[in-house]
Amino acid sequence: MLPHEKEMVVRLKDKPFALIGINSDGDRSVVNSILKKQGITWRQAIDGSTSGPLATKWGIQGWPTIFILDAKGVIRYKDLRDQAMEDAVNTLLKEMQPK
Amino acid sequence: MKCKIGIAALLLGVVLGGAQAQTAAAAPPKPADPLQAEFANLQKEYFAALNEYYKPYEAAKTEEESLKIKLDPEKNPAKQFLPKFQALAKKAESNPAVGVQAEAMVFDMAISNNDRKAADASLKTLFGKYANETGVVRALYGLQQYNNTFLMGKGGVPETEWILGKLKDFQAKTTNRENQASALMMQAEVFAPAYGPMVDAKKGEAILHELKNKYGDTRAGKRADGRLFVIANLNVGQVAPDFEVTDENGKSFKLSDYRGQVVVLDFWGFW
Repeated sequence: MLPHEKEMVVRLKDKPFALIGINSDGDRSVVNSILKKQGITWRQAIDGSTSGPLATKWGIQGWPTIFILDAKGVIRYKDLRDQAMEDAVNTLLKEMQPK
Repeated sequence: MKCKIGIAALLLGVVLGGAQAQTAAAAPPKPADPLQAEFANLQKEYFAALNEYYKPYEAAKTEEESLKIKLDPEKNPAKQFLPKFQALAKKAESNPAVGVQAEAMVFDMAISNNDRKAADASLKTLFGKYANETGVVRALYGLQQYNNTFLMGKGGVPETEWILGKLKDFQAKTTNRENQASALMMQAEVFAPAYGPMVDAKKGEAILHELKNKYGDTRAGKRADGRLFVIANLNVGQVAPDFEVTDENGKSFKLSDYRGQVVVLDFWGFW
């Protein structure tokens, strides 16, 4: 996952695209040290643990769990990873281009 | 990045049971009970062998790569370990807390070995002898795997009917409220699975409401609301429900701040 994610944030930095991590490792200081060590640059929501408020509300039972939303906020894909995830994002970005 | 449920586990549902058992094994140990210690050691050995067996999946860099991997079923550690766990299960018959754990492993392994006779015998023991033990719940999760391995496409047995029948039978047999609630949760899962396509949302929701109303005090009962939220709100084609969270710099933001952008939400952990 990580190599694809890193590649994607660099490649799409000027596009209307955002990767948001919902992290379940711990508090802010725990997460920041992981981000630093792993070279993760994208925004994180600090959810605290696997039973954090958002993970609980969204019924997350496995990690990672992926949702891909279009520009209108509609869930378009779930549980895609790596190349399949990149392809899905590319498709949605293409949809946004004026015809 | 480590996966809480590894790729190999996702591809081979049987191992999923193993992953859950690993979590259970992390619970406070009972050193006073030599049988429990024997079980823990055997399980540790088995998981080490499994890790070795599934190593090619760990080495695979992408999902495409991992799909190409072919493992030799003859070398599956489940073959070698099944008789060991069977022996332990027999030895632990008078100690149900350990016996049920060993029997649940036997059930998983029998499915993994494609040994329907052993799987049937084990299921009978689990639902007959251990219906009130907490550890039996793990075997409920094995039912889908049982169905995938032995029933699909054979003699037109309606798969959901078979699983539902087993779950209802178990629910009726056990007098343990936690187990009754887990049986209901699993019935909801049949109609509204956490993974994979929706079968019948209405039926799933009806069961979850029953679970919430009758068993709200149980562990499974407390998860009913979460499942109902997911079924109602998190389907492909729906606008994702907004949320407000705090980021790594202590700044709060909303999902709706990102309207106009394609968004990948990644629930993750490094562990």
